[in-house]
Amino acid sequence: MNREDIVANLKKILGADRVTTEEQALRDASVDRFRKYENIRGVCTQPVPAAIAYVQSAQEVSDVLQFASEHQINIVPRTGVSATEGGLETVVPDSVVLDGSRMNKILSIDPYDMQATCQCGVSLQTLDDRCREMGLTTGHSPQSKPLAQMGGLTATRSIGQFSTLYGGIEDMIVGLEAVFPNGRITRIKNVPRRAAGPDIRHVVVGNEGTLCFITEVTVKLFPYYPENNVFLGYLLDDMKLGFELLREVMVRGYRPSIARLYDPEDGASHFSHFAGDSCVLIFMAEGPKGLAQATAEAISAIVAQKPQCRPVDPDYIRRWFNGLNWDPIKVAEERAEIIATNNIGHTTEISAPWSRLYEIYEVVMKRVRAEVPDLTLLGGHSSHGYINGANIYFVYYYNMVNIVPEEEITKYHLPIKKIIVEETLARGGSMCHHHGVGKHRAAWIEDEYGSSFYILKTLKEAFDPRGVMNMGDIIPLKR
Amino acid sequence: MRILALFKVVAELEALTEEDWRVDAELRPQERYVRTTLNPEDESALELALRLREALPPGEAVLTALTIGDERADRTAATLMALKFDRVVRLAPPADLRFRPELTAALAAAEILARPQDLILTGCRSADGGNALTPFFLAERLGWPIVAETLSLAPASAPEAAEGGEETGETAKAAETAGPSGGASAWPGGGLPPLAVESLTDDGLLRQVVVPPLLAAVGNAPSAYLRVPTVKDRLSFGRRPPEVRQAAKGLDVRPRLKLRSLTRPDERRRVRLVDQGAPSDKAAILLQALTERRP
Repeated sequence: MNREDIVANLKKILGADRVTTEEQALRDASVDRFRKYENIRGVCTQPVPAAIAYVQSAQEVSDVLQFASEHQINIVPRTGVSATEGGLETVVPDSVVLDGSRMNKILSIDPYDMQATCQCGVSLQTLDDRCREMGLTTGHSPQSKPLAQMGGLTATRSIGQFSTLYGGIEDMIVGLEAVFPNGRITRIKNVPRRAAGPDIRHVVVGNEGTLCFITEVTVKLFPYYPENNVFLGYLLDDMKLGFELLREVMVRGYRPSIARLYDPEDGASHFSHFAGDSCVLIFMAEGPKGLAQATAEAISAIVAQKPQCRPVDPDYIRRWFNGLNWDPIKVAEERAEIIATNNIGHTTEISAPWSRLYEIYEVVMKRVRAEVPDLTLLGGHSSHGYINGANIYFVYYYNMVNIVPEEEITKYHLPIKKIIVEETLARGGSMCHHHGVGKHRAAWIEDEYGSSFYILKTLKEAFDPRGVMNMGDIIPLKR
Repeated sequence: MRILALFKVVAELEALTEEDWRVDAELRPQERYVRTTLNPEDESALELALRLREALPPGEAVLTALTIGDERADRTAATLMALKFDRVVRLAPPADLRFRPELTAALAAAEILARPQDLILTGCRSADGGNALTPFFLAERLGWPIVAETLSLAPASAPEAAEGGEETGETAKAAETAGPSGGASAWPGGGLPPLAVESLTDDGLLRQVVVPPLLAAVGNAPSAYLRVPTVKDRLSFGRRPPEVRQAAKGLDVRPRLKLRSLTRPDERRRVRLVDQGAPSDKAAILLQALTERRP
């Protein structure tokens, strides 16, 4: 089906006012923040989609997906457009970007059953603000909170800054509604737990729009006690000790909501006013007063056993904590700064068992420094701890020297990502901790899964037999 | 050409919370809790200094960066070393320099007179004090011309230089004050090369050709963010600490004015949320509101 017919049919299904074909909007919709430099420079390397279609109900999603399946049109689902790994890139011509951001109703906040139900286009900030007015919280707080919406957060298996206490979104999702490419609308009911076969929520959570379109989610709620938050901060001289301390806190059974370790390079952009060239170790304990205080006291006692760790005024940490998130103003400022300095930053996040974490950190730092030109910052932090390991969030900036915009990815970003992914996989870690696979780590997906790739591939074949859902994402496109 | 860029590291005051505005006995808000940053207009001055060095023949420019402040400036100093400034100097202040542009200028002038320069670049105003007086006091002390609200600065083209250099009548003076680098100039007239300086005035953009010595007070210069040094340059050049000295001794640093109180400026804004209607209705409401506010 040609482009014009695709648009005409979408207009027939949804109405003309809900189908956008404006050129700049389409060019912007062909990428996400992975290609932010190309986008800033007005260069468009991806096939421009045929249209952006705004849906307002599960039935509309069903109608569009059936149409797309029938005519083998690539569908790229999106909500808040804060993706960073190319998940929103339209890699084949005449794709349709299916936008759920107008499905933005909070359907219920239930303080008795402690769960909230909302449509996919509700921003997390809006939902959490409403919950907080009632003394509740979702417990979910990724940096993209002001931008990201519940559908996308679920589809990418996002995680928030308080994950050590509340978990990732996969621990928060109670039930959901999703629409599959054959048009079937499915609802997973909201129960505390069940042992009725496999947990099918996990077919949907993290599918990155490759299996289905999420239209509604129900998440757990927690009591909100900001007045009880206790902050702890320490300076130390090496990351190895920092990882050891994070591990110690986790394996002894404490659950601070924040447990973070920054290396000096990464930390400098947050803590330069008090940390100098030191690593920074941060904890926040929250919850009922007694629990928060006991957690903080126990962590203090653990860290006190290492005299190399120097405590800092907790007010530094409290103030840092209040200015963490990315909002549209920060995104706009970043664009201006990239244009002015020709310097750009990206991140790649991985996870690994405690036993391999420092080794991965060390080898990545060494190799990237040696192999990638024009680096201006290479650092990392660990921000999500578990009983058996943690993540590392590598942060890197570089000057773009003697390149045209479309070479930024091939000269700098992908070579760095490749080093991080390969060194992580070689040591038994996961190449994606919380940004999702997107299009640019899909090349390593079989290495990531090993023999279990069979399960992933079978899911794709079963739920998207015509391969129309977000082509090239998670599983690479065979050209 | 000996180029001095004066810079200042300031606390991000807009990040101060209500509680941080509890001033202490010295009438200081709780600045230590917020990050510090390079004063934006000084950042532009530093970048313009680097661009001028690149525009001059190799080896023609000697770049010094000077700040008067505490060790919070050392991280920026390391960045400037990594950007291959020839010298980075930090003068430890003898007194509280807030609201003391005359003293700041006197300290800088003493340093400049002790180690002569041909061109000084600095921001017009700092993000914290904002009095926009220091460059003028400094120019006055040095007896130098000043171009305020400078936006860009580069070696003048040959025709421009031939015409403008004569017009300013500064060539002879420049030749007298030129240091070792002055004689090596590629400028055919000898002495220091004339500079084409663009600045913003009440009447619009002004382009002048000026022969140093000159103090260029940089304003809101477009696209003049300080470039970012590479990790390799940081490791190779950025580890050298700045030269730290006590600011000129013997100056009378006693304040002539006494700071009596310090309060947070009221920066509240009225907000009207237009959340009903189609985009065209919202646009009409916005247009009407803007039109009403026009004088």
